[in-house]
Amino acid sequence: MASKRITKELQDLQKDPPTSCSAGPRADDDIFHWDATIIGPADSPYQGGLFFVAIHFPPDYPFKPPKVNFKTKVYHPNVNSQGSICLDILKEQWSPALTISKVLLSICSLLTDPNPDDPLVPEIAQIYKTDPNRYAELAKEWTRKYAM
Amino acid sequence: MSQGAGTQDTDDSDPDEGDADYGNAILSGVEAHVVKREEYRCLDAEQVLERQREAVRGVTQVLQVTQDDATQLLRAFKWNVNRVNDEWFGDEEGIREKVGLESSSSAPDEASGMVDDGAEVTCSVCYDEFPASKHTHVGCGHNFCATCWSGYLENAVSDGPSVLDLRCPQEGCKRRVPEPMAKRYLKGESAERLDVFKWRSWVDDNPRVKWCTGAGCEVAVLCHGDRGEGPVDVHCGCGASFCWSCQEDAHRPVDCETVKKWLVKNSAESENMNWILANTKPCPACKRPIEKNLGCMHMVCSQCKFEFCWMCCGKWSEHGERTGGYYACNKYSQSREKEGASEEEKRRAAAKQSLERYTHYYERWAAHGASQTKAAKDLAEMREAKILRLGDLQNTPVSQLKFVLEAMEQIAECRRVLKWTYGYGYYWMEEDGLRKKFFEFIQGDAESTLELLTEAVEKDLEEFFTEEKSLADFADFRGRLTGLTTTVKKYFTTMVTELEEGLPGVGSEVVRAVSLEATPAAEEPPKLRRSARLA
Amino acid sequence: MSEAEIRFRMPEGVDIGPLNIPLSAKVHTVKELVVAEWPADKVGKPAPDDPREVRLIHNGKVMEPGKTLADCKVAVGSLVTCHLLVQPKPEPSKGGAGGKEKGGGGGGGGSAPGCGCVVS
Repeated sequence: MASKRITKELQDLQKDPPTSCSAGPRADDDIFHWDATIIGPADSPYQGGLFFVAIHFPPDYPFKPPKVNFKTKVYHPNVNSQGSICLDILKEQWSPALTISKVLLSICSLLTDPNPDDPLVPEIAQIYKTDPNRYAELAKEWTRKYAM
Repeated sequence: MSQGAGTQDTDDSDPDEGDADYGNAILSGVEAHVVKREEYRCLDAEQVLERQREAVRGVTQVLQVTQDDATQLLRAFKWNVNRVNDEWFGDEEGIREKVGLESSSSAPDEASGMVDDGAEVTCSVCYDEFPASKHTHVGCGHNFCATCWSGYLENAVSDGPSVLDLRCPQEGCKRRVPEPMAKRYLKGESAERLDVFKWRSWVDDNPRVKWCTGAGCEVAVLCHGDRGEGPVDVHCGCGASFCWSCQEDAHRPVDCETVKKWLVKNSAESENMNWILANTKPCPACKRPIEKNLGCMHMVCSQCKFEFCWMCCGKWSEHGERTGGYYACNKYSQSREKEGASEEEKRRAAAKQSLERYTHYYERWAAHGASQTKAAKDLAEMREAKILRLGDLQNTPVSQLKFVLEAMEQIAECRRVLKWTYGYGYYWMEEDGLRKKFFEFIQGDAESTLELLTEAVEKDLEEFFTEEKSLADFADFRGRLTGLTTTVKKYFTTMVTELEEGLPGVGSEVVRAVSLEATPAAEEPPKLRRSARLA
Repeated sequence: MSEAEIRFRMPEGVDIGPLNIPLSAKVHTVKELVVAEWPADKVGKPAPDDPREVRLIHNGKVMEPGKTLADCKVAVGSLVTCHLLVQPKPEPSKGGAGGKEKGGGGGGGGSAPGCGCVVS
């Protein structure tokens, strides 16, 4: 059941993908592992950056959420050095009616609007709250260094 | 002064739980334990179900909702019927939304885009088409095909009891999946699991009830009112003895936090301890290795007949009040700091001392623990087989021999308490002083008293199996053992209470027997019971 | 020679094409074609001077300049969408970080320095 649904999502994605997200299976014979890219949103310090993302669909997808990780280093309060993303729809707020397309778009939103009150990296969240200019500088610098 | 258990709290509406005599019970210190009302109650599956049904019935009638909704409301408010009522009548709509029940307004949900029965819709989980019906949504109009409902529900059941809170698969929709719907789409086995989750919820989601820790035991233990803060020793019919508050083995007089610290420390030090604690010790006199196979600390070397204490290897005649002295081997005294030692030496000495100190307490803790285990085993053996033989030998029905079992139960319990006094001593008796002396005094007293009882059972009783004894001898023995058991029980109960009080008697006439050193006591152990102090 | 029908989606929300490009075409050629079709007025920015500044992405993977469309598994028969991003070349003084064509798949980004966090 999972592969049928994933295949359908792939078809929809290929027909009309979101503007800043591209995704597809890593290899032809394994539909459960995908690679994706996210283009840094224009109204964020990540602008112009190309961020690589790995997606793993569990066997009981879509009843369990996909596992999504950044492969590119990101300076963000909700993304840690392992690339793990703190996003509610990837955990307790997951719904089987959600799609990977919506997940990727949520991640784009998260880049534009971090959530410092539920941080994965408290130090960055602290800077974001107390010195937003410095946060923006650091985020831009990391984008230059790692995502370009 | 602890007031009676929850009269305000009517979630266990048991008629015979009146509190009238509870306040009066806490008066005279020593007798308090005899009059004290039960602190906890053991419930089997039937009783759990009955209480659950009663709570659900109450809410169903008062709130005019379905049984399923009532169960959910109770779960949301931890089975507190009063709270459910208060919250509901305070903000019904808010509660309905939070719990996922349909809105009370009779107008059908507009924004959800309800479709006609039979209309072809696309399932947003698998993208197949199927006909909508009242069975394909939970009242919110979000339709999913039967296969996906099954998949969704089966997956939720395998996740565990959280399935009881399951909501509509649509993102953002908070409507709950009601039980009839769930049962409709679940396989038989999964539906049964759902039922099990439901009745277990009365315990799992209820802060006043906990499962018995005994392996395979399905008893639930309800603890009354404010008892749940300090340690509460529960003895379940299945044989398990545990602390209701922290789920560890029963550990009065020590508080739960200290217990946790001690157990963590033991596991950290376990390698050291394994090395230090040998199974055999050489006889102090003839040096032949001796393996301890009785619970008693009084050892007699089978070869050279030397009598000594297992703990400290000192001569037995120098122990116990028979010689007018202390039960010396339970004492721990820090060695004096050497004059003129270098910093490095001092540090090493301090580390060695720290380990020695810990070893002293741990060894004794472990020894009493091993004796406790042995005592429990002996008790089981006696109960199952030996007591029948005794009955035959003495021509007495087994019902008349209960005093033997009671004595053995008491021994096991005393070993347990003594075991934990060493945990107590390690953390709360660091400073040499008045308090510590008194502590070691009563601990030593307890140990020697227990040894009397243990000997009576392990040695004197054994003689009735192996030797010819008259009925008069047995009657004599019965009297002696019964008396001993009562004395020991009283003594230990008093000791436990005093230790939980933090030894308030220190400084009064009670300690005249102990030589005094006017050192103020260090940190105080937490006061666990606010019961009456010994005058 | 089979041709693919490709539209190129820009982060500004504008699409270039669709263009018909043979499967045997190399990626750097495709970039030149894209730059030639640059919709400067719609996008509000001029075309990049160097087509190599354009990065093309297909199905989550970056299209490497030396490869052909066939190598990148671009399908024929239906409209294909590729994503496009312009990343200007860095100043020569910067060491190795920008302007590199990263390989396909999850290759990008440095490895994290020694953080031991485990996330499920």
